[in-house]
Amino acid sequence: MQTQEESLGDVTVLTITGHLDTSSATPFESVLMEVIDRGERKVMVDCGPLEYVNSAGLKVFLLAAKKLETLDGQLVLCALSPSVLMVFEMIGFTRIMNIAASRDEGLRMFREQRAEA
Amino acid sequence: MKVKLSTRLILSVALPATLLFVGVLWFSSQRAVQRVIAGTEEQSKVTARYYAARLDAELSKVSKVPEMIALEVESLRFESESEIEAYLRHVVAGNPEIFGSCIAFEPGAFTPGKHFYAPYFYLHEGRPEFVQLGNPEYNYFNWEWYERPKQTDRRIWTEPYFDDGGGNAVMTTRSVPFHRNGAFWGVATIDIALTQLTKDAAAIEVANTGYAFIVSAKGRYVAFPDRAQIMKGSLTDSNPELARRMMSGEDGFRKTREPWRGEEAWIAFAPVQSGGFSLALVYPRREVLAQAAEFQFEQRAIAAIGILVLLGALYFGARSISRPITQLAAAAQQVAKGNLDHRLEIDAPLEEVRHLTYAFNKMTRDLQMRMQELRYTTTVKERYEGELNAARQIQMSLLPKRFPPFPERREFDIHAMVRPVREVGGDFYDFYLLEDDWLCFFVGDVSGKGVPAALFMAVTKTLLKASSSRPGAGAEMLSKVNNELCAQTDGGMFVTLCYALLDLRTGALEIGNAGHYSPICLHANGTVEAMETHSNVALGASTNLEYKVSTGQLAPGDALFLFTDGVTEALSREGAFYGAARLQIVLRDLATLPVEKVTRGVIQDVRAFCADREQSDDISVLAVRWRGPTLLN
Repeated sequence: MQTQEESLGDVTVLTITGHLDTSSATPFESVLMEVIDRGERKVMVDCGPLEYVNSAGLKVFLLAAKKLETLDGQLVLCALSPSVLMVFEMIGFTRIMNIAASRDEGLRMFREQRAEA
Repeated sequence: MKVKLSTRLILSVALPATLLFVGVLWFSSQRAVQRVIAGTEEQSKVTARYYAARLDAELSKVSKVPEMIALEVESLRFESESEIEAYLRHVVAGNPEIFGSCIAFEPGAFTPGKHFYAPYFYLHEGRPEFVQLGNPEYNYFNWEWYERPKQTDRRIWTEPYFDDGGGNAVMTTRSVPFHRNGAFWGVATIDIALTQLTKDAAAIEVANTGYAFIVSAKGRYVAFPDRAQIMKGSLTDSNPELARRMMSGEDGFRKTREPWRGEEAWIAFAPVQSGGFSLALVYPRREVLAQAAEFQFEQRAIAAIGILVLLGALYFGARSISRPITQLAAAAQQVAKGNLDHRLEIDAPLEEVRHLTYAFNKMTRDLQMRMQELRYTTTVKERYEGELNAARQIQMSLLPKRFPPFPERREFDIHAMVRPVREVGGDFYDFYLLEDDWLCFFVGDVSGKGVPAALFMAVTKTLLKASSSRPGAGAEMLSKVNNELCAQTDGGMFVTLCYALLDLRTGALEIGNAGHYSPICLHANGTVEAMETHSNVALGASTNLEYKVSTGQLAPGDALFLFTDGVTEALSREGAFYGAARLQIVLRDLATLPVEKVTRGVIQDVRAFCADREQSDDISVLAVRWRGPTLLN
């Protein structure tokens, strides 16, 4: 598991590569929480290069989503590969989390939220 | 080979240094001997020449006397024998150095017809006495003192002789020829005692044990420390080479055997022109070398002291190096024994030793710190493992492990197994009867680990059991449990669950799937199919969700197989997933076997698939077979 951070306007994009499993969940949680703790409120995780995720990894996404929600922020996941998306779907997270097909769609999700506000 | 540092240092420094010392010593003592010999040569030659010159001066002074007499005779002033004899008496009386004097004429040359005429005056008890030498018994014409001047027409000194008549002393005669009308007429002579000469020679101090001697032109000893040898012994007999050189009037310096004691000596010699003597000074080798030996002794003493001082310095130097090393070794032993509080306190002036001491203490300190850290880490790890064990115990205590659980019920068989992973955990299952006619069973997986996950699992199970009720209310129950769990969790923990309610009378199923794998139906005819279930969100992830349940129907002999992702996501050594497809294939082989064989068979296959790769998640399986509405009981 490796992450790479970049900024697209006010959106912080974390690109995650490799396997997000029981052993890599804790370091990934640290990275994600660090981003949130320093004040970022629009966080997008680009799951394009993510090959595998299990329930431990999903727990990190859920935790971050819940935390951002309480802070009036938003977590968007984008570009999930079919196998990763299947895991999300099975656990039902596609229904409770913001999941976009691409980065552009993800960025639009943040704008929509602003428009709603 | 074990060699102590001090030994090694002494060997490698002191040995070459000693060799060097010895070499220098040898060279300088050679030089010292050479210098002493050169000095002796220089000094002895000068001394020999000086004494030779002095003796020569004395002899030449008296040798003027017969020349004077000869001139007087040649002046023809003497007309009678009485005139000559008066003159001669006068000469002898006026020259105390002279023992006697004679004027000897050729046959009949002074008084015609008188064959012998040789008046001779000599001192007898201080007074001149007269003797007529010439007579038939004493034919002076044949004597050396007369014959040699006559034949050579030269002034001569006769070979010394011992006069036991008048003088009782070693005498020599100076003989000077005189002429008349160009022809040899006779000789004028004086006799002198060599007593003074020998006294003078004896008075010469030659070193401490050396001596001087004088030889005549024929090599006989004129002056010699052994008086018995005087005029008797001959240098030619004892040392022919030296004798030859001395008699030939050379001067020189030779290392040879001295004639008196026969010892090795350096001999300096110089000719005494008058009288044909040669003076020699003898420097015994012993004494000459004694000077050098003294110098050598001093040098050796200094060298010995130097080597001793060097050895001492080396010894103390080596000790000052080896002592800290010894201390260091002892300290290292202490540290090796585990005494990490030990500190080196070496107050050595050596920079390197100070560095070493510092490094050693730093190492010990660091080691101590590492040990403490390690102890702390171990404690933390033990506590962590304790916590894991507690979690594991909670988890395991919640799982029913006694099979068959309802031996009196013939309508169904049930078997479940969990193969926990050491660390993670989170899988659970349970089953119970509801109002005798319904069997409720489920398999779940808490996302998380440790005590929080175990407790979350316990809460989930309790909630489920408390909320389970008759069929038809499953959706409501899941929704309620979900909201309860959402209120409990704040760490993003959630649980996936597959829940089933089997009507033991009809085989009707109600299945609630919250983010979990659908169960697999093993038909009595051996076919296998995954059941279609409504997929709900995992419990505890989000509040106020609507949950839906699915329904199904089992035929008698059909079985339902529930499992967790530990099965499908088990990894092989190559990193491949076990997968749902393989599970279905395995189940097809196991479909008609008793439920325990089904569960064990799947676990075995997963283990075989993983081979030696470490299990990364709990693996749980549960199988229920409905035998039909058996009313035998």
